[in-house]
Amino acid sequence: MVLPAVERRRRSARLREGETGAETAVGLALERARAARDAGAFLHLDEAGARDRARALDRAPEGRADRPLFGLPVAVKDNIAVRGLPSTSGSALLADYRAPFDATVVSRLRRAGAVILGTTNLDEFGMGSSTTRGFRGASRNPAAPHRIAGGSSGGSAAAVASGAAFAALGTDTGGSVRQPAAHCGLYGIRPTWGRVSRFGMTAYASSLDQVGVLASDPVEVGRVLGTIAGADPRDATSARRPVPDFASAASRPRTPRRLTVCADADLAPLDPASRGAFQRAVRRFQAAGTRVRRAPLPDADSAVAAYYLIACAEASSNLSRFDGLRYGRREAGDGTLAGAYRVSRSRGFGAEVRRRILLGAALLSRGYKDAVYGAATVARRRTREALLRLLAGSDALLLPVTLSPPRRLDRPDPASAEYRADRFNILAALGSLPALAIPAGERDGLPFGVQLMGPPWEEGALLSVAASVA
Amino acid sequence: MTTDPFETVIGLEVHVQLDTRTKLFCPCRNTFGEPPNTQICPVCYGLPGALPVPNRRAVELAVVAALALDCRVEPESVFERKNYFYPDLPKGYQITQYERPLARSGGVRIQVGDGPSRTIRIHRIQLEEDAGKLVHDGYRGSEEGSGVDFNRAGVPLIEIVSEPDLRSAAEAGAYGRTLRQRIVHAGVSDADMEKGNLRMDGNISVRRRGEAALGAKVELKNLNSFRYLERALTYEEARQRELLRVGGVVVQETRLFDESQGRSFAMRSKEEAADYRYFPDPDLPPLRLPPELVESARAGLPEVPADRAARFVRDFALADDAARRIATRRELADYFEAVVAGAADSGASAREVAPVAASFLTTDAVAREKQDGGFRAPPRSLGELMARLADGRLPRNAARDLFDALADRGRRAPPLDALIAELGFGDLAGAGRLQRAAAEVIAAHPAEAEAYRAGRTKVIGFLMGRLLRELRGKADARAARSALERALDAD
Repeated sequence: MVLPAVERRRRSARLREGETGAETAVGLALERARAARDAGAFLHLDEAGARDRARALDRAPEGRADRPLFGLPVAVKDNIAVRGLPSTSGSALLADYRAPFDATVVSRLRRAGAVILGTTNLDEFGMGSSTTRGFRGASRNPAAPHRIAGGSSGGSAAAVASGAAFAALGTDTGGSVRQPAAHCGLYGIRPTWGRVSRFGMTAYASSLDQVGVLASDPVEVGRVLGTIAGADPRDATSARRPVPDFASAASRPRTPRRLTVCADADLAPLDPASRGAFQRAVRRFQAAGTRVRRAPLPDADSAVAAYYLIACAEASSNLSRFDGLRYGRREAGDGTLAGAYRVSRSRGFGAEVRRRILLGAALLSRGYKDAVYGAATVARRRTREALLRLLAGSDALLLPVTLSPPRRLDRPDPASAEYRADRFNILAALGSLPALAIPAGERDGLPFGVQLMGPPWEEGALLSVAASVA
Repeated sequence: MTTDPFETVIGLEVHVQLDTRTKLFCPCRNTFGEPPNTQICPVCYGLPGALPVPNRRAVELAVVAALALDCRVEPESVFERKNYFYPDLPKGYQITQYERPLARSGGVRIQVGDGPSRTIRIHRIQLEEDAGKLVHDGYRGSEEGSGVDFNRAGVPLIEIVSEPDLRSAAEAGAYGRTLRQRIVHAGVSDADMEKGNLRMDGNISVRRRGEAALGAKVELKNLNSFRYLERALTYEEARQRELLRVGGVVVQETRLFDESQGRSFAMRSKEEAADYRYFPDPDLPPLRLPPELVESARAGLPEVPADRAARFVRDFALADDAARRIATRRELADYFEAVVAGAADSGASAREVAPVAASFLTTDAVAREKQDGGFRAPPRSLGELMARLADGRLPRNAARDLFDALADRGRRAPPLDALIAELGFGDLAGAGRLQRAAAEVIAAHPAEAEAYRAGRTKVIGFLMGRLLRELRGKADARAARSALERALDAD
């Protein structure tokens, strides 16, 4: 069911050159998308809206030049607001909620001529790395239907890998774009925190959340990132700095002169096949003339702990608005106000979300806040400093994304194992640094990816490096 | 008489809504009295994905308030989230400031009756958002339960926290009133208590005189008028003193005062007190206030009323009580100064016109000001008018008519001379006209003039009668008399 990357690229090129009309492109995409929806990639497919939009674009073809994404079918993770479409964040509590406004990233996509196919599956509120924890079930991996697509942006990855979407928006709090990209053989970027507006993204952990892009080619990642990036007056934390031409950066392959690569000891948690695949990726850079320096990563266990403490603390507050009173699922409970809150929230939220809210609320409480939350913020700062030291004098830092191939859907991991498996992905999040997952062949016949992490605001450099091994 | 063995210690938390056009973190209107839930948007209604963006004007007004209360404005402060669940709180947290507030360490001087004046220290001022309001009736479905109006949610507030420096309910009242006056005067808020623009909570404890430690404190919520504040604190003070006197223990708790019953009730004890789980709001970068912003706010700060009154006495020769009466009302004082400036521009002496203008504005003009809800006469024209009134060129009743005409026309009023001509006061437009008329009267009655010059000054009454008849009542007696005297002395 995977559409080969070559074919995906050919389709978007034909559209760009004007050989195919938007309506034709969207029609083809929707055919694929229906199958992808049945495999759990989409939560909502907006067939009528997408066709209308494509027809409208074809009627005004003179706008092509000003619309870098003219007629390109794009999928949007369901925790990003698309006006008029359901926006559930994968939660039963929001099953009937529709977004009354567009997220900034969505309105920018529309302005660039993209056609929104629909919203994609995810782990509830982005909490997970398997896309099995949404209220509508799992998203299958297009390359291996009995396996997970990764997560939490698994639906977005599956939508692109299946050939339905040209690119998809995901959100990355601690790896949720990069990990599914790696599991589905795609490029997936987490930009520098503040590079892309979060307005319209349902917050999980605001200081870690960042909207990212998944696509099958660095240039396509660059085109979409260039479209959605930049200061937004509706997000006080969006950075007021110029947006470079990421698409051109991605179309100028540049072999890095120096790469810092994590130490062998850091690779110990990987299974042997994945370790082998990672070393092959390192050798490929070396063969192209890159000088590789091996250096140990910041202490992963304390970083994982700091990440989860901060993420859960912020989540406990961010998810407080879901009380069932103004919108969303509402239960009367025992008729008291406290009862209504309790029952609406305990029935509306899934187990993992409840776990993280309770953990977060507990550790912000009197007696814990300074010791635990305070320590986590210190560990976070140290991690960032350590990463910046590793990046000094290097074009990028190369490290794995996943410990093992996408697991089978019928063999769930305990949550604790899942947390530990995030060890490489939470680093860029804690450091507020950009990171890009890139495909690096296969192991055990399944897609394998590695990631490049860069200094703040250097997304363009990462895309150039990625293009050199594409 | 024995000395009081107990000492009462009171601190107030005063919430003031800032008079901004829009809310603190979204573009919704900051208004009062609109139909419920018409002034809301995804941000203040707490929809998923919405983010707060600070309102610059609100920050500026908070800085002005802080300076008006002699506080130190912090170059960097931090918005934090105060987490709790309540139906009027759409996000499940209030954005406020906690560890690093906008301003600290201020104070105001208060005076109770004729007692000595004392400084009450202000601990801190924080900038925060208001919550919505529960409504219990008057809407469709109100029989089935309460509703929430979110129009108020997100309205900017400052919370002014005093040190526990107040020693009586009367002092608390005086402090509240002084604070309100400063806030209104600084132009930061209408502080209209009927509209809930200013709301207060009180912390009160009683300790044995001489003890350093504070007694167990009781927090009284929602003290929303000064009278109510004083009554609630008086009741609570007596309750605690009586408890201590009979050897009882005051429990630390939050209580609500019920005015109709004249007593307070426990709301929740210390053990039940909420844990608000404060932490810095990751959606909002630290609030950095450049020194220029603080300095420009300081420069724009209006004079304290007492200073202004003193200046009016010094520069404008006003009497003390007249100066105070005008200076305490900022709008009146501003208008008064503009009127005096207008008079000075027309060549008159400010010191001569100002007392006349002051008396005119606080007597003759009052009814019209009330009717219009402010002064509508262009201050320059009124200044000229006051100059003519002051030097006798216009009688008072004519000045009143002209003031009304200026107020009627407002900004579209013609120049004063044109208005005078139009209304038929033209004969009196210049002192020259009056003087000419006086000379004519003297020329027509040489015998009486001669008698006056010979020392029989009472004849001037006869001459005034003639002159006033000549002018058909359009000059007042005082002006007519001085014009005649001038003409007779000059001959």
